[in-house]
Parts: sequence; structure tokens; C-alpha cells
Amino acid sequence: MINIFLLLVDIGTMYGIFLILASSMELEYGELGIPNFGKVMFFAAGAFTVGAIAVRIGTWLAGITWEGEFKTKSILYSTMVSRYFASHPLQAIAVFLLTLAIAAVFGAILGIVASYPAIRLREDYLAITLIAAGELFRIFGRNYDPLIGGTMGVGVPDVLAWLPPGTKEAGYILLSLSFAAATWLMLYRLSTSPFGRTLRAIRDEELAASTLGKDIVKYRMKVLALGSAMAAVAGVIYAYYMGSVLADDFNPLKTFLVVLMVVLGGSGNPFGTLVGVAVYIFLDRTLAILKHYIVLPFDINYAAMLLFGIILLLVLMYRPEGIVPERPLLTVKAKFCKGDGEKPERRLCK
Amino acid sequence: MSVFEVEGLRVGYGKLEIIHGVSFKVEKNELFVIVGPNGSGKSTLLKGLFGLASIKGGKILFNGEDITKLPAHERSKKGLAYHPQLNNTFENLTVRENILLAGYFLDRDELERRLENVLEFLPEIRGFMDRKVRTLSGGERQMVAFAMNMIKEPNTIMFDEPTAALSPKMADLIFDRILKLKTEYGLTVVLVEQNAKKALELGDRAMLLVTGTIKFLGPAEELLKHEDLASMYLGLRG
Amino acid sequence: MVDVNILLDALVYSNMLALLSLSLTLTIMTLKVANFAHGDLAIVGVYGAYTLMVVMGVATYLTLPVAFLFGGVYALLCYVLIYSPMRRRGASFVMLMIASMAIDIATRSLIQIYADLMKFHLKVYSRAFIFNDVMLNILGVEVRGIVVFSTLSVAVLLSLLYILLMKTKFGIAMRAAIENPPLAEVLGINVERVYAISWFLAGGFAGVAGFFLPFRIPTSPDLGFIILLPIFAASILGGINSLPGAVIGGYVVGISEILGTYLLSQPPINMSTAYRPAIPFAILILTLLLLPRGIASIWSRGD
Repeated sequence: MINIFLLLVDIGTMYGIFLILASSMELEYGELGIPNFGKVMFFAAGAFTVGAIAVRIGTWLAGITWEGEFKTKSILYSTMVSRYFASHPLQAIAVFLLTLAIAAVFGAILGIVASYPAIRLREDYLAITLIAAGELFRIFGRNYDPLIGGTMGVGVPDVLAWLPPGTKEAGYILLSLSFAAATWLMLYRLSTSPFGRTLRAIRDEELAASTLGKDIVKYRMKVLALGSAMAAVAGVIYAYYMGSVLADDFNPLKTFLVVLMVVLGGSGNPFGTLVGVAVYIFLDRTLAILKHYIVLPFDINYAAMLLFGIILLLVLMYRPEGIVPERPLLTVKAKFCKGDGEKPERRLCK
Repeated sequence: MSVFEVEGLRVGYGKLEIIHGVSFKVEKNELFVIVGPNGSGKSTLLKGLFGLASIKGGKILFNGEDITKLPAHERSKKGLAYHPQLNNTFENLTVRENILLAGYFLDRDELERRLENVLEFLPEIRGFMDRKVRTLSGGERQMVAFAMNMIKEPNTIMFDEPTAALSPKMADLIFDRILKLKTEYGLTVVLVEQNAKKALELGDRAMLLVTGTIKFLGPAEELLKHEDLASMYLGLRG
Repeated sequence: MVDVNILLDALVYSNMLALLSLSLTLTIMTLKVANFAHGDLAIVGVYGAYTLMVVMGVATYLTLPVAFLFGGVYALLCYVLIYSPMRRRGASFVMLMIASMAIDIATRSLIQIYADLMKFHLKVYSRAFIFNDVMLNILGVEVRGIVVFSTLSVAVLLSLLYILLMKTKFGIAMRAAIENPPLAEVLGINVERVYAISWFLAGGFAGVAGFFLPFRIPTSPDLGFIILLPIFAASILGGINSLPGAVIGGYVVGISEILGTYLLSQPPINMSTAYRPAIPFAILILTLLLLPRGIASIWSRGD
């Protein structure tokens, strides 16, 4: 039996998390033209921060002393911390905000570091560099046990434990969707502002844009820092929602899915991002449900990924602009001549 | 029958039209010179004649046959050769390999025979047959491109500014060979040149092209002596 | 001192990387964009060989040509059905790159499904498989077959490729089509056909390289992605437009990786072998920082 409530909670929360990720990708790729194939690394930066810190701070606040290895005991202790949080909401929120802030800063710094190669390398060299860096990051998380429990993963205390069951799940959706809304609105405002226009100018005709006196390097750094911070925030929410962080979860497949969402939805248009994430979540959850009813001699997850790969190829080949295409630039004339009925007709507008 | 009969030809790229309806004829075994200021469309006209630019209107007859819609590599099979200004050789291949590629569809013996003829015509090439083209000087490269066209034994060759950026000595050598094509080999030559004076001295008939239209069509020495046109468009004093 | 077996392992691994790096460079020279599905070509090849072995009972080493064939055909299909049409429609560099990523995901998933099906039908316990080797007696010394055969394969394939490219008319046409496609077209060379054939060859080389994998480690579908980093490091180290450079890069990265991992895992450093990818990554970063055009820029005059 499928619990409809939990299903909706899952869809809602994951939609929010992925929307944040997709918005960051849209900002970097759709607007500025840099496909950040290392996206999962920044996502992991946020999640690993939570994994490494949350349970440790929680036990310190709760006055619990650690006995035993971090790796084997983290789940036990994070459960204890969750119980503590149930009666100490303010401390829970504080831990959440603290880890959020640290993760966002960490993500931004990583983004700035990544912007150095992003400026100098052509896109495919950059891609392999970022993918490889992300993989090393994951391997480190997987092998250095004190960080996030190595292959066992780490438990993350429930920062919404103080909400009664039923409300708590709603709390997670609310958390995820409000951050997602804020992020998306930020994307939208940036996209329609002069900043966004400059980004697209750099994307489409870099040489010309640089002659207009725009410091390309600064723009790239800002965008990558912001995009990476966004991805880290998504990682934070993901970690708290999942209740655990497992290094192997943060593999390049996640980056691929985000790219799919942005390209399918329509790169260069923030509304496309909304659509792309929705389509993916829909397909993903549908397949997850089907899994219960169809028995195949092979793992249906593979069929799902095959399907996603083919979808992306079809979009690239036959509808590269995506579902919601980028809107053409408002030219000076169009804006100038919109007219407001009061001023006399302008000569240029005939 | 003229070699080229061009009527109302319009040529351009994409939506842009550069040649606005030109009509002219090129007769057999003549050295037909096309001159004009920068940007007049001389290169575009040649590309249109060879099939590398988009024909927007008009007609081209080559030796009586309508080739207006024929693709480029088909035109070369009809005996028309084209020597572009840039990018006319494979830089990372040797001279020998370049010439071999030009004669790709010939069988071994035929290729050997023709190569001998080409080397007689351009003996300088013997000296650097096995060097990579990118190690050669500008003039040497133009000779390689020349040889690549000659191996096809065409009946008509069109040159697009073959002496651009060459030393005067090299330029003279190229001009000398081009003239030989007409006088000794009986080819028809169409020559687009920036060096108007020298070209007009060599040529039989000339065409002055200005912003895509013909401003003069007639004997070469007439254009050379024509005070207004020569000084206005060609920078020559009377 | 280092154990001889480690050195031989480094040799076999490098042989494999050299073929993969060479073939990747070949595809980049024609498509101008890196192919993220390249490692998967090797896996497609070896699964083809494995199928033949298991289903028809053909002796291991005899299935090598099948690996070539599977890798070659799959690469050809990718080029003809996806990359070439996209390029002709004016797809941008980045779009081709994303397409290669999509092809990687789709291919890996396909192989995963196939591996599941094989496991189901063969009723074996594990999805990963290995090939059993033969021991050869060379000059009185016992040597694993793979050492000899992989080295031999590389030598033969490289020689054939050299002869093809330098001594045959077709090979010259191929080099011309790669260097200056419009000029080659004008001379009457069918550039599309030349590119398709070079993709077939590249896929074949990758398939042969993939064939060596199960002799060293249990081979599973994800391996194609895991070896992608060393392949790229080798290609970039060699210089992205140089075939000889790619081969040299393959050996440098391969030997560094195996020896480096072994040495670093010994006391006093005791680094876990899981950090193995750090070595090709370091080579990649150093190359991009210090010698961006790769080793080939040392012996060829810059253009």
C-alpha cells in the first residue's frame, strides 16, 4: 500500500530540493553558459557539512558524551539528539541555521575555487576536472570515517523533531519549498535584471561582451560562488530530510539528472526550470510506484536511467530549446517604443 | 562558345547579397582580370562561379552547360579549377601528400605522368616535395596550391589574389606562371587581383567590380589608362 | 624494491590505457568534442566477447576480435545516429558534450540491464566477471598470458594504424579530412564516410582495451566510467591532437597510477588504495596548469 500522504511529502520536498539545484544550474549554464558538471560536489559539500557537524554539535548541546567510534555510533547518537531536539526547538533551529550558514559559505568558497579553471579551460576539460574532483570528494567521504562515517554513512538528527508527527512532515515540505521559492525568485530576478542580460551577453558572444568593459572574470566568480552556495543549501535540506548522509549517494548521476531537468525544461528561461524539475519528479515517482507492480528480471532503476538518458538525447536532437524556450531579448527599440500614451510619438519608432 | 557566360548573377551568404546582378563573358584562352577595391565582392564572385557561395539569382553557363545549380565538386569534374586565397593546402601533410590528395581519384600511372608535367611547370617544388606544408614560405605554399590544381589538368583556372602577402619576387614568379598557363598551356584564366597594375598589364580583358556591380568591362589596357576609374577605384594614377 | 608482478600489472594496465587514450584522441580529432561515453565502448566490447565465451563456449582469447567488433560497431552507431546529425544541424560544443554524457548514462544503463539479464539466465552469484588466464612459458620464465597478449595487441594495432595513416591513400585522406574538412570535400573526399570509419576504428581499439580488463579485475558495467578519468588524463597529457602523444600519455599515466598507488600504500604513508584516482587527477591538473597543450607541444612547433 502506498501512503499517499508520505508520497506527497516526498514529492514536495524533493521538488524543492531539486528546484534549488536546477536553479543553480540554470544560473550557471542557462544564463552564463558554463555547464557545471561538478554540481554534485557542491551538493555534497552542503550535505557533508551537516553530516559531519550536526550530530556532533547536537551531542554537545544535549550534554551527551561520545563513546565509541563515530562511524558505528553516529546513528545511535543522532537518534538521541533528535529526542533532545523534540523538547528544545530553539536549539534545533539554531543548529539548523548554523550548519546552513557554514555549508553555504563552504559551498561559495568551493565555487570560487572552481571558477579558476572555469575561466581558463574549455568546457570538456572543465567538465572532466570537476567530475573527477567530485569523485575524489566522494571517495574521501567514503574512506575517511571521522568525516561522515565512511561506508556506513552518518546519522543526522531530526531538527524538526519538536513538531508533532503529521505536522513535522509538512514542516519539511514547507522548509524545502520556501527555500526553493526564495532561490527560484532570486534566479528570476537576476535573469530579468541587467545582471542577467550581461550574463547572457557573455554566454553568447564573449569577445564582444568583454569589449563593453564587463569584467568577465568577476561575473564568472560571482555566478559560480552563488550557484555553488545554492547547491550546498540544497544539500543541507536533503541531509536533514533524509536523516542520514551516505557518500556514495553523491555520484555523477545526480549531476546528470540536474542537467536533464534544466535542458528538458528549457535552458535560458527560469520558467523552464520549474517545468523541468516537475517533469523529472513526475517520471521518477511514477517509476518508483511501478516498481511495486512490475517484476522484471532486471533492476528497474536501470531502465529508469536508460529512459532518462534517451529523453535527454531526444531533447538535444529534436528540441534543444527545451519545453519552455528562452524568450528573445527585448531590444532597445521595443522597450523604447512601448509608449505610454502621454509622450508624443517618437521618431525612431515609426 | 564562350568559356563563361554569366547573366544577371546574384551571389551572397545567408540573407546577405553581395553581387547584385552581373553579366559578362569570358572567352577561351584569355586572361580575364577582375579588379576592384576591398569589399567589392571579387572573392564572392569567384566562389559563386565555383559553387561555394549561395546563388540568389541569374545563370552561369560553363562551356555551354548550365552549371548554376551544380555542387562544387561536380564543377571541378567539368574542368574548372579554383585557387582560393586562404586555406588552400593541408598544412600538416607533406607537399607530396597534398598533390596526391588532389589527384585522389586518378590511378597510379596517370598520377605519375601528370606529376611529371606539373613538376616541369613548377620545378621549384622538387626542392620541397617531402616537407610539411606548414614549414614552407607563403610563396612556396601558393605554388603547392597551384600544383594541386594543375594535377587535375583543368581547362579553366580561377585565382583569388594568389600574390597577396608575397614578396615582389615571389609575386612576379606567380604572375609569370599564370601567364604561361595561357600562352603555353592554352588554359583560360580568371584572375582576381589586388595588385591591379600588374594584373591589368598581363590581362586581355578586365572587369572592374565596385560594391557588387560592374563599373567597367572591356580591354585591360583601356581600364589601365582610364583616368577616373583607375585613380578612383584602383589607386592608380592615370 | 618493487615486486615484478606490480611492474607487469602496470604494463598491462598501461597497454590498455594507451589504446583507450589513442582512440579517445582519434574521436576528439574528428568530433572536436570529448566523448564522455568513451570508456563505455570498452565495456561494450568486453561484454560482447564475454557473451560469446559464455553462450557459445568459445575459448577466451579467441573472442578478442569480437570485442573489437562490438566496440567498433557501437561507436559507429553513436557517430552516425547521434553525433553526426547533431553536428550537421549546428549543435554547439556544449550540446555535443551533454549529448555524450547522455549517451554514457544510457549505455551504462543498457549494460547494467544486460548484466542483470545474464546473471538471471546464467544463474551465477555475482554480476561481475573475470577471465581466466593462461600461463605461458617464455624463455623458461612463467609469464601470465595477458602480459604477452596485451603488449602484442598494442604493438600490432599501433603498427597497423601507422601503416594505414601514413602509407595508404585512404589514410592520407583521413588525415586530410581531419585537418581541413572543407578543403577535403572540395577535392572530392567523402568526409562523413572517413569520419565514420575512424569512429569505427576508435571503438574497435577501445573494445580490445576493454577485453584486457577482466584479466585484472572483476569487470562490471560501471567500470567504463571509472576508467574515464585516467583516459582523459592520458589524452590531455599527450596533447589532444596527437596520436603518438596519446600513446605516451597512456603509459605515463598507467605506470604512475599503479606504481604510485602501490608505493603510497606502503608505510610510512599507508594511503588507502581507494584514493587511486588522485594520481591521474593530479596528472590532469598539472598538465592543464603547466603544459596545457600536452607533451606533443614539445616536439611540434606551436601553431
